[in-house]
Amino acid sequence: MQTRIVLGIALIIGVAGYLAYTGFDEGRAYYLTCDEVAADEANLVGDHIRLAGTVVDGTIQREGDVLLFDLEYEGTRYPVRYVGLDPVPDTFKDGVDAVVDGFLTTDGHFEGQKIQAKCASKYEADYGTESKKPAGSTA
Amino acid sequence: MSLSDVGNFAIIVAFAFAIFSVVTSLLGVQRRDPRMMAMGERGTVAVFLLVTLAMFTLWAQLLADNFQNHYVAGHSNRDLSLTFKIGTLWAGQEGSLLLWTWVLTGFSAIAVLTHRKRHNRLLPYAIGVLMTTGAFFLYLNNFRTNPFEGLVGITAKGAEIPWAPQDGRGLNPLLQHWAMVIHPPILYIGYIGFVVPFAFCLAALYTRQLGSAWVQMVRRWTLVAWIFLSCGILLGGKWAYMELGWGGYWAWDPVENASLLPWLAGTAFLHSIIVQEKRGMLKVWNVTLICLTFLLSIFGTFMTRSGVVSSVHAFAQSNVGWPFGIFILSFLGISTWLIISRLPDLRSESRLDSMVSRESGFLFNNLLLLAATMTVLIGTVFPMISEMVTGRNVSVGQAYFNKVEIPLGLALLALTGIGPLLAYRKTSNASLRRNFFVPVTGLLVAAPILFATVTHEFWPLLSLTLCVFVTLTILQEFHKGARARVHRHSENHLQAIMNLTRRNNRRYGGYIVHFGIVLIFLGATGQAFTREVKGTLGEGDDMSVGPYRLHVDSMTERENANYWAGRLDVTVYKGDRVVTKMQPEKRYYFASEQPSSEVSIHRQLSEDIYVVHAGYNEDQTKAVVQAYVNPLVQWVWIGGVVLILGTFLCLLPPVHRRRINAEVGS
Amino acid sequence: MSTNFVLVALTILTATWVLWPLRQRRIMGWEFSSEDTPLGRLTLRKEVLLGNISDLDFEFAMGKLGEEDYREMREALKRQTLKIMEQIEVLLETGTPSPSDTDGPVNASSKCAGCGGSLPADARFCPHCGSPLQ
Repeated sequence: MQTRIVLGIALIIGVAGYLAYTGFDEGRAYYLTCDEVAADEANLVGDHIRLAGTVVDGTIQREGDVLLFDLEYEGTRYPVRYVGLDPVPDTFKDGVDAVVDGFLTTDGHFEGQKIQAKCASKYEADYGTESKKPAGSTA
Repeated sequence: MSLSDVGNFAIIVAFAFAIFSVVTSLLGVQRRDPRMMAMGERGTVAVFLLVTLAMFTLWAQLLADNFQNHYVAGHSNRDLSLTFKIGTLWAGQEGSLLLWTWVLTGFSAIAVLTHRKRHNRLLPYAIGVLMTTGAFFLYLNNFRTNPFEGLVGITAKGAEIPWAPQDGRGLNPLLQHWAMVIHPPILYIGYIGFVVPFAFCLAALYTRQLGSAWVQMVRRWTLVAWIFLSCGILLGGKWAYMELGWGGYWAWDPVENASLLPWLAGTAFLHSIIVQEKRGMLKVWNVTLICLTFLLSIFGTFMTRSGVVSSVHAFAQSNVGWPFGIFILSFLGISTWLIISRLPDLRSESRLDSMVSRESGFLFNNLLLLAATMTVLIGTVFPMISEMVTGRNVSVGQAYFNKVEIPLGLALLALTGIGPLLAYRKTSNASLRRNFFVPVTGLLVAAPILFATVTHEFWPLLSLTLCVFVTLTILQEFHKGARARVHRHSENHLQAIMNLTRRNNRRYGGYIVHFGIVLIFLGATGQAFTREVKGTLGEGDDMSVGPYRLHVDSMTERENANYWAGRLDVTVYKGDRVVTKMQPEKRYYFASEQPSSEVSIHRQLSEDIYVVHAGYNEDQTKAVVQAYVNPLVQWVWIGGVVLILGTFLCLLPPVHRRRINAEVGS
Repeated sequence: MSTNFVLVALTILTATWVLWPLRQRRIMGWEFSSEDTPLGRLTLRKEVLLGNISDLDFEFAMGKLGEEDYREMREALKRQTLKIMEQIEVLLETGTPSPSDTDGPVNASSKCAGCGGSLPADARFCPHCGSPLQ
């Protein structure tokens, strides 16, 4: 009796482990900033990458259904072509921090399929510093 | 003296009382001094009253547009409606954690008031655990994320004086939605509800009173927490579906996972305590599961509040990261130590007699739920761990979760059908044949029909077939139970079903919950058949999605104090027939300077039509429109309602067993 | 200024209420009761066993068990329940648990603070000297 129970338990753990292992292989994505990608372009072609950076002011362009823009991180710029079907998040605009899911192409582009724009927390945090500015008129 | 001072005063005194309660309760129970234990009880109630005062103070500041308070200035604005001003209390970090404390201390006070009359030995220890947790959160409220901090301006002479901006920054437009007003409190009640069972569990472990007493005490608490957690998860999904505009409701986002983890562990706990009550088995499972559920609740709050999900760097920057880490690790250590040192007291009272028995059904249900919990947990924390170990952030993505959780979920669904048909201890072959004949026949008939008419894909097909199977087992249970009553009590079938459900409310309430789960699986399976299109449309343009044709009648604008909105008037045709008219909007909120898409959804039981106004083309003459057809989505919410009703049924007090009592007594 | 006053008053009021139990004299040898006593535990077990019998009847009526299994399991449950009920009766008559109570360690029975006589589990007054208990 006990052995059959143990077998059952082992089976569940085994199957869950196997699924997790293969699922991990399929879903694996590297979270990299623009400078890291630029430094290691050759090795990253074809890998699933989540590219992080700030949207460079004035670079957002629409070309039909495709959206073009540059991401920047610590001085390194990287051009992105967003070809995904999902609508671009409302918070996506010049100067926001964004994470784009996609792949590197051989011609030095990053092809994005999904965009996340970080904003809420940033605009939440800003207030404190601003308030520290001299409030001249109240003097 | 300002309102902020009142708030600050309330939370600092509450902090002191929380520590006082821990000390007096634990000392009192050690020294068997009822006076000290009574002080611990009263202290707990006092903490709740003080935190309530703090909550109302913050609400008063929000409603009075008191922008000198940095929290009010950062999250509210003058033109916000009353409902949203109330909801703003939990829109940001500081307010959310105050709400956490409020719910926690509220639960503690209720636990004290309901259990104190019985001179229960577990209660003082439980108060110790509850108020330690309370003191931890009050520490955060006071010293880490204080919601009552004031803004200061610096005068020309360099002195600091209170300063208030003309208007606040406004509430994040994504949060300006009814589901988002009620979602956080409900989810928090769910998370925090598990703290009471956890506290009683630690008390039982410490005092070695590990019979059914503590399990009976916490069963209702767990069910209540479970209702709220389920409700909170569903509302979160509903909000994402209606507000975020990507056509779905679940994306295995870390924040979503954070709420699912305690739900999975809590569900396992709810099942395995039944076996402890009935057969005195699985005791180690129970204590482990409730500790796990509580720790995962705290961990969920930690993940969402410390920002650690986006990157490990956020953890270092966040002002709550380290305290949370230390708190979780200490409780993990204490629980592990208690469980290991009490293993001899947790021995099973009976043996598992057969693989084909209800007990083993429960055991495998627990294993599957635990496997799901662990795989979701690993997937969620993998980016953090990989970054800490290798310095490179690797996330696993939705592919991982779908690959792992869909098979595990379907195995659980199958077990939902099989388990209840098995008898305790052992099930004879004859009864197996008798009980499985109808459901298995149904399964064998349904599979080829669904294959021919609906889909050839494996997982959706399996899911739909299992839905049929489980529904049949549930119907059969109702039918057979009712038939037994019809024979014995000469009632008609409908009466019999009513009485049956009332008299066996835990069992039949459970079946109804299971049916809710079936409906949720049905709705989730619909996602496999989603269709989506994107197009740039002007007035008079057409676009097709699935069997529907969208026609843009006009593009209009409107404006109010809160936002500007660009609107599309879309008529949806199926063939030549008008199905509905829809008005998706693109809004621009003035206070927060943020755009927001207002999704338009046409709900149908068979499939939703979901249209998003995603923005404008370069010359602002045409709109980018995203349209989805989402089959069966409504069944997820319907299933949710069924699930909640079923759980309420489980909460009803039991009907007395006079007959058997008399029979055994004679 | 007046807010300050109200806050201080509020603190004092709350503290007084919380510390109020201190005004009573400490009761030496006070014991826990209810679920923690032998009687409480036995009653709980009886309830659980009665519930199990009821469930078993129900499952049999629904055809999940064979006749033979059912009889055998029901008899076993009934025997256990009877034993518990006997123990409860003994406990109620004598005030001490019968030796066959095996469900966990039994607490040393409590003593009256006034005269030192032993007390039944949930007594309100000492049966020997009549002094009121907590």
